[in-house]
Amino acid sequence: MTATAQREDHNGGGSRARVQRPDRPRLLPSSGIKRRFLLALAGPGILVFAFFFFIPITFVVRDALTDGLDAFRRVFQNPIFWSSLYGSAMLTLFSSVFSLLVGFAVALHLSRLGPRLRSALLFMIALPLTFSGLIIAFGFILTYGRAGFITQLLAFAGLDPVMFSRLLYSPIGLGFAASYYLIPRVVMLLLPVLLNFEGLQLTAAESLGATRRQALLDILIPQILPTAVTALCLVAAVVFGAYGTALALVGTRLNILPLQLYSMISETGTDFPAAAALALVLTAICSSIIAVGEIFAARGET
Amino acid sequence: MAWVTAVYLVYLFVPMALLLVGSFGEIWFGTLLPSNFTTRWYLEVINDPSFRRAFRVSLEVAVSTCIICVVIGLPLAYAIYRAASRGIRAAARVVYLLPIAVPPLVLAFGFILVFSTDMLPFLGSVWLLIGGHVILTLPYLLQNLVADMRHLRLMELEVAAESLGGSLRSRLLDIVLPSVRHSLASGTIVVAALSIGEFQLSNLVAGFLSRTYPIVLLQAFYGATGFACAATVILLVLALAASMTGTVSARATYSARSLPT
Repeated sequence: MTATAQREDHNGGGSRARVQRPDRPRLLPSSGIKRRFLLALAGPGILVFAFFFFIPITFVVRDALTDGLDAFRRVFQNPIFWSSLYGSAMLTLFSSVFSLLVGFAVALHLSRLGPRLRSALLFMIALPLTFSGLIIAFGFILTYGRAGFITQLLAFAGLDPVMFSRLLYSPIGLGFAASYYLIPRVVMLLLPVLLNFEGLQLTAAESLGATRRQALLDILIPQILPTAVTALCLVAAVVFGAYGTALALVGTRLNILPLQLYSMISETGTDFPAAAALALVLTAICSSIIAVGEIFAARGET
Repeated sequence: MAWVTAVYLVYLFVPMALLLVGSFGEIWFGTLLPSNFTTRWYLEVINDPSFRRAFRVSLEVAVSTCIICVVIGLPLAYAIYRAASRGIRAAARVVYLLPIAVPPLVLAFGFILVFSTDMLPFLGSVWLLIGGHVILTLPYLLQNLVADMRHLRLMELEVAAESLGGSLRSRLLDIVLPSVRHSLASGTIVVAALSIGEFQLSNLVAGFLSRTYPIVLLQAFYGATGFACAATVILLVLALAASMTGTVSARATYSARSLPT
């Protein structure tokens, strides 16, 4: 709040503000926008967020705390919670690392292409960003399911189709499907950094006797590491909280946290305070993963 | 890394291609590809009353979401851009990340708790669905717009106009609006695409008569393969159309890059 109060002084005070801070000359004259006017512009948006976001989330918090912390105790005593947490951790770990590796390789390739071909490929790669999770789920059933196209191709090569398709319905298989909409996010985040990277640095290192591998490891990787960690955290948080693709692929049989919460909410006669507590645990994990990514993003900027 | 990109493109396109092939196949049972060409699955989807209703609801929700997002999002984005203090910038960053930091499932649960009370008994109404979609999509539009305003250095243009005697009203109408029209168009198309495909919140919040297309689509997965394929392809085509319009209306690389989350 102090920052905005200062701001008002700065804009509303006009010349007074300039006198008060002679050490910070403004590059541009203020173009006469009052803080009150900006607040009026932001008002409707803030109201909508208050009504459709803050009030619902407050209700979740309130429900979770109805009987002190007892709801949380009930969540943690439920053995399903722990196996769901394990399933979610496996799914998230596999899909985020897999997406980062593939996304990095694809972005690196794109950064070396001409702008025209790059734009065309980028358009295709960005397609899954707006896909419904259901499209992906059914597409993967057709491709890797029991009678799926790839499954049958592999069966010709002697692989057991039942074993292979069972993989699709495990946390790892679900992670493989989730990567479909995670990899584009990684590419979109890494590509600008790779495009800004000065390729001459690698040439210089190699001319001084470094191997290709050393040059990549010692020069390229450190420069993109902050963004890579941010991308990893972002996709990890996305996949940790998502249930759409999973529900369409396996129903509620798979033990992951969002599906556990989904079945608690949709079944009748559920312990709502426990569901609210579980919702808060899920939110806390997703937010923490995002926060770690933001810390690395801030570090990358300085 | 060329081979990774090649394999990746196969991974990207095979599911889409199989959905398309499956939707035109008469019989697909235990064979590599379906046999006999038919359009009957599309006709069945189009003539299915619950699919027709869901399609209408989805369009209604998407159009309303777009209108509300533009009406409240454009002024909000401008306010965020102009109040360029550290605090506001950090707050805006939090808003951009909200749809990921707070999963749609949790928001849907909040909706159930709030709007099934006696005071606000609105669960199942279409406008509640629209409100939810606005919350889930507005951050993407805001991020798109604010990034574009920074990129265009809108403030410098405005200062120039002001020094020449331009009023606030004329600055907003003659400089701000025309300058951001590309990012506004591409951002709105992203909003429409996300709204049409949204499943996670709608699935819990929609009433029986306000079910959106993706919710009805999930039921089709348990039926005939061809029917499910055709119903999915309709959604796929809508998403593809949105991506193409978005790319045409805005500069291709720029719009793609400003959607990092």
